[in-house]
Amino acid sequence: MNTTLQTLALWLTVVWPLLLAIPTLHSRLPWPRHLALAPALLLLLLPGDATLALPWLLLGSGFAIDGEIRWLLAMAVALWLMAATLTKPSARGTTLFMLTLAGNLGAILATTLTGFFSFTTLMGYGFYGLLIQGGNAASRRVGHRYLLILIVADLLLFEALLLAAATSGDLRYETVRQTMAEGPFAQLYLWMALAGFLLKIGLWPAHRWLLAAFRSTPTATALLLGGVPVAMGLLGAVRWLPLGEHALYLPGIALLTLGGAILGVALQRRQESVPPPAAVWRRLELLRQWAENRGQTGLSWLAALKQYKPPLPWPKLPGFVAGWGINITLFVLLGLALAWLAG
Amino acid sequence: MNWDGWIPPLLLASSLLPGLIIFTLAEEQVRLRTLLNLGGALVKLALVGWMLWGVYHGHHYEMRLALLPNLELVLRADPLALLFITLSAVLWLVTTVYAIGYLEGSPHRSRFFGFFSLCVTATVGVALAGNLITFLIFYELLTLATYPLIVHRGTEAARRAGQSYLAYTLGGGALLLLGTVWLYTLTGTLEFTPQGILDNLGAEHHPTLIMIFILLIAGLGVKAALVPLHGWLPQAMVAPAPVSALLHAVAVVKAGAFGIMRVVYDIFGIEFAAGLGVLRPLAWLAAVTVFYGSLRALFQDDLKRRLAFSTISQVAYIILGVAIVGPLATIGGLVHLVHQGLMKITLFFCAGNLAETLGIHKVSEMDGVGRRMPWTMAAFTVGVFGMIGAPPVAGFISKWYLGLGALEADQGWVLVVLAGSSLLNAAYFLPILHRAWFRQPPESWPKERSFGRQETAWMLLLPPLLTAAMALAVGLLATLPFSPLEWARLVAQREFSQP
Amino acid sequence: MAAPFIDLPWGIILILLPLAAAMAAFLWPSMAKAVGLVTAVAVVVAVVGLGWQLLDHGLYRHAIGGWGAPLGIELYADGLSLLMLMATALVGFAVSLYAAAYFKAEDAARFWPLWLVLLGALNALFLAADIFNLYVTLELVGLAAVALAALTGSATALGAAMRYLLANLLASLAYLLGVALLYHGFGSVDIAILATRIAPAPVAFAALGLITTALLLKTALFPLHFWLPPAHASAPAPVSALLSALVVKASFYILLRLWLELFAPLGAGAGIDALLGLLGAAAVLWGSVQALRQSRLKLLVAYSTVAQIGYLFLAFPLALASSVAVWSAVAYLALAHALAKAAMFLAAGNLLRFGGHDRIADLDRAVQRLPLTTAAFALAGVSIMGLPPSGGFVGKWLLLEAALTQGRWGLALVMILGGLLAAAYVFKVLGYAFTPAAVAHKSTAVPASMEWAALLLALAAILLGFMAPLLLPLLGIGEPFGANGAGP
Repeated sequence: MNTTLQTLALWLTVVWPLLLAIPTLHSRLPWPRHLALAPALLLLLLPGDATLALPWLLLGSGFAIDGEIRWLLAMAVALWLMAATLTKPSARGTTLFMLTLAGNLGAILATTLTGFFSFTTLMGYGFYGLLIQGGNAASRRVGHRYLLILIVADLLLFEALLLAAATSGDLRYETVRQTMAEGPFAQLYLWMALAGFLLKIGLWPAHRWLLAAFRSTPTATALLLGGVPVAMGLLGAVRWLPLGEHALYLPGIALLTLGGAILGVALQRRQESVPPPAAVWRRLELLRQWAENRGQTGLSWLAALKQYKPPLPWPKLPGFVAGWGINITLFVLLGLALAWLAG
Repeated sequence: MNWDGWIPPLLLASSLLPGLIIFTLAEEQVRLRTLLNLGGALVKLALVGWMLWGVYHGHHYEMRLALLPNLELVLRADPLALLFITLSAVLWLVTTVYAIGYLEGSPHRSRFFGFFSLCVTATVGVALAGNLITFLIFYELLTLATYPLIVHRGTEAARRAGQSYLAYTLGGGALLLLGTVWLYTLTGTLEFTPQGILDNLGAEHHPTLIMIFILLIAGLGVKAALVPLHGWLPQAMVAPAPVSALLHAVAVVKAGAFGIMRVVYDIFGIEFAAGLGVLRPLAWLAAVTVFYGSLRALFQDDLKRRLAFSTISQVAYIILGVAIVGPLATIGGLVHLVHQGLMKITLFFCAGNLAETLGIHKVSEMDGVGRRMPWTMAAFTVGVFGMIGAPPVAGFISKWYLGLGALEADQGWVLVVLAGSSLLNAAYFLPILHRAWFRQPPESWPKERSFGRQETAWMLLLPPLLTAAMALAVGLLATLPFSPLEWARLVAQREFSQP
Repeated sequence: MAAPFIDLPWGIILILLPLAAAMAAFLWPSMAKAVGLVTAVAVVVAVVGLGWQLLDHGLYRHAIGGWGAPLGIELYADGLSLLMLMATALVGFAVSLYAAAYFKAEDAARFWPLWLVLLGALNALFLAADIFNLYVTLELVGLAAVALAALTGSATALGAAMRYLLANLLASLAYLLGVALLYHGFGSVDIAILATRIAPAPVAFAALGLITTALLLKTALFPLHFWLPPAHASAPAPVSALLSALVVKASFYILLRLWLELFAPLGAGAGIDALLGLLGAAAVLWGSVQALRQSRLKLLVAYSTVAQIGYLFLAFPLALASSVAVWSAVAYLALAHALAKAAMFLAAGNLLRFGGHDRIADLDRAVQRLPLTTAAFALAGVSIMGLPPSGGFVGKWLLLEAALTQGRWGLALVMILGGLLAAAYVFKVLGYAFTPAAVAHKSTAVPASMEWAALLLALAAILLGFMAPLLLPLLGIGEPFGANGAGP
């Protein structure tokens, strides 16, 4: 009984927002944005793990919920509920909202690389729409940059995906993580996926658009933009790359979602320019130092990081925090990846 | 009595007879003409369904008719033929509905639909051809049947486009004829056989075979619009939208691509051809075409011209799939034959809707058109994402298998081509979407027609929605039996000696 | 079928019936049309009967009055004769149908007797067994043709007819001289007897030269084609059709017969086959280019005939190695061309009648206003271009196959190029048939029978593309091209 219900809920969590994306449908419902989250809420409330394998769907996909994913899903649902409440009921773009939502929830629940890739693509283009629908010149500029990065990121991930498929044939997360580490394309796969996700998250060198984006969007969008893409990028990295036990990371990502969202809103509220968090050459310098220390074990780059002391622009705290958040994520990912390579 | 042999000719007759009868109808006999058109299309679809089931269960559909000394007209439904036939039968039905709506009230409809049916007959003939000479016959018939459709409007521009079309295609046909006869003098047979018919020719014939290959591919490459033989395609855009749709998705361009497949797989045999060393240059040519088409598309303001250049680029994927050499790449090429058809026909339907409803022909006029015609543009959006290769639309599956095939065959450079092409596709398609969905609509449209509460006539709206839905479905449900992908797998199995 | 039907002397009927009908039409002009139509149908029936006989008994020989060669007149029919007779009967029938509606009272009274004479003469020519009878019938054909060409009596027509007449007379003279030389040298005019006696002597070569030149002139092979375009273009449409489809084939038929039976060993030795091939190639290219340059429809079609005749001569250099296939191809091409070209001229006549002019650029939506005629022109064009499926394609395929098997790339390329040029000029016409003219013209209605006559022929030319398995064995009756597979 419970499993049937869970299976249904797994289905509906993704399909229901997609259905509601149709204008003739959502325009007839009260509170369509909130309603779209109903199956996801239901799924959260039903106890126990559940898996829904869909081998016939898009080269083999599936949805699953377990302890860790539940955290992430809960955070996402909270965030989207908040955004739904913040958005004016009359506002346009319900369709985009629904598509983006479906993309996000689908990416969280997906059990295969292809599923994850598909849903994040949907989400990415949805975000592009949300960003740009305000219609002013600034948002359009930001939107274009975002789009370009999105496309490049998707291409990189697509190629990484191909490498994975060519190596393992089975695209479930665990299988890929295991086989890729020994496969012939390990390095290439790692760098492509990493680069793709870094771009998707909006990290260096793509961070500028992210920061600029907050200034020109409505609060709800800023909230989502701050929380969702970064989290999804990290989630992807964790799932695609053999970085370690993912149980460790998922709650962290959930927290990051929240933090990012708050940050996003804060940035949006301040309406001021943000300094570039750090000069590019600085980071290159760090990398070089890390490379020198490569013989040492573990995360030796931390030592190098300590030497770097930028002036603290206290009055511009959100921007600063954002910049550092991005920096730290970058280096965590890079470090983990390189550690994996070295080991 | 076994009637299986009669189904292929019946399949031809299901569009030939309605076509011939339609020629004799007066302009006013709209209902009878519509009945004939749709009736023929439905009968054809039913026959195709029957054969799909039959071939899947190992039935053999073949009809032979003596044509020349030692040469026969052979109609045979093998899996590869059925892949193409199914596409054309389905899209013919959809396009017929669309054309009826599109041409409502315009002159010379009997002539139009007559040739339309002939065109489909020729396409099905191309698909069913069981040897090269039968293929050649229908291939030339296709050229002839398409010409009146291209010059249908009777303007000076249309006449010129028609001349240019003929100059290219008949020239190509001549090369094909030369290659075919030459091949025949060597082999004494032209039968399409899985893994080719040339195995027992000795090495001393290889230079000749290379020349023949070049002749055949050049002849077929004209219709497939391989660079530098693509010049006619953008010009042929003067034809009415249903014609462009059919030309790009099903009939002419696809006949060329299909012919290349037949030559590579069933005349030369893919492994033999790879051994000759002719496939590598073909792959390069296809790659160049992919880029060239995309680059040219970037700079077209005319929507249909942009789509035309996009076709040049997309059809080259099919050739690329053939030329990479490998089961997976073959699947990619084969499946793209179908997928590209579904996606491109959607785009052309939508372009036709914009032109018919709002008088929009240029990309620069498309600001905010998504608000006026949301359903049309939704279908267009699906088509566009398919072209870019975004999941889960059909194009993703094609690129997926092409990419896997490239990795399998150790040809990593193809991945770069795929990525670059996707990037370019995005570069010339996404701005259209941006305009349509996010720009402010103008005060008034160039030439608006009102359709009451609907955004356009339902006969114009339904076809693109249907094809867009199909493009989504074949992507999402690619692994189900009878999907294009699974069928392509079936075909690919026959063409490689070790699976 | 009852035996008596088969056993009628069809050969004689084929000759005498049209001649008698011509007499009747001349004597009773008011009945001319009816007589002509009935005769045309009867000739079709007679050809079918003759075909039946051939299938049953093989080779047909009939000595008129019981006097056989070398004294009397003998009729002879094999597959090749039959094919030419079929072409004549078919084209003759369609043209008669067409002419019945085309000619008004006065012209009709002149047309029918002349045409029936021509028909009889053509039939006699295709049935003749000796070179003297060939001469007589050829002369008769020529005279009737010239008279027909001059039928309208306009200044251009008379001028063209005069040129035609002169060319004809010159050719006849040369031919007669050749015949006399042969008779003098080898003591017979019967082809079969001559074939056993002829030897590579100077007199034989002189006869070969004279006769070949004469027949080339009559067949209008480049560069001896000068008289053809004006004559064919200025004649009334049904006459143009007859001239282009049948009359030039008559002289070609004689050339082919003599070549096969008498001259092949001589000519090949002297390189004449190569020369003929070269001239044929030149004709294909030159005629096509000229056709493409014309702005008048009928001239275009006439030049197309010049080009198509070239194809027939491309076979000569190929025949040495694979005689049967090549000559079958040529016969097939000749038949296809007869049907297609007649259809084209009839269609052109319709367009001329309809618009009052034959300027190509002013065809003014003919495709919509005269759909059957345009369809006829297009379908005939398909055969002329040699696109499948059509009689032209079959012929061209066989010829191309022979050329490539023998590695004769030059000839193969000429064939291909000729096809492309043909496509260019045919579609030049068709393209303008879709566009409206700058200035609207008055139009005259065209009777349905005229449209259908053209379409019928064109359809026959297309159908010919599927008839090869039927016709090629028929063509082989009596082995006109020598034993299967073996060249001389």
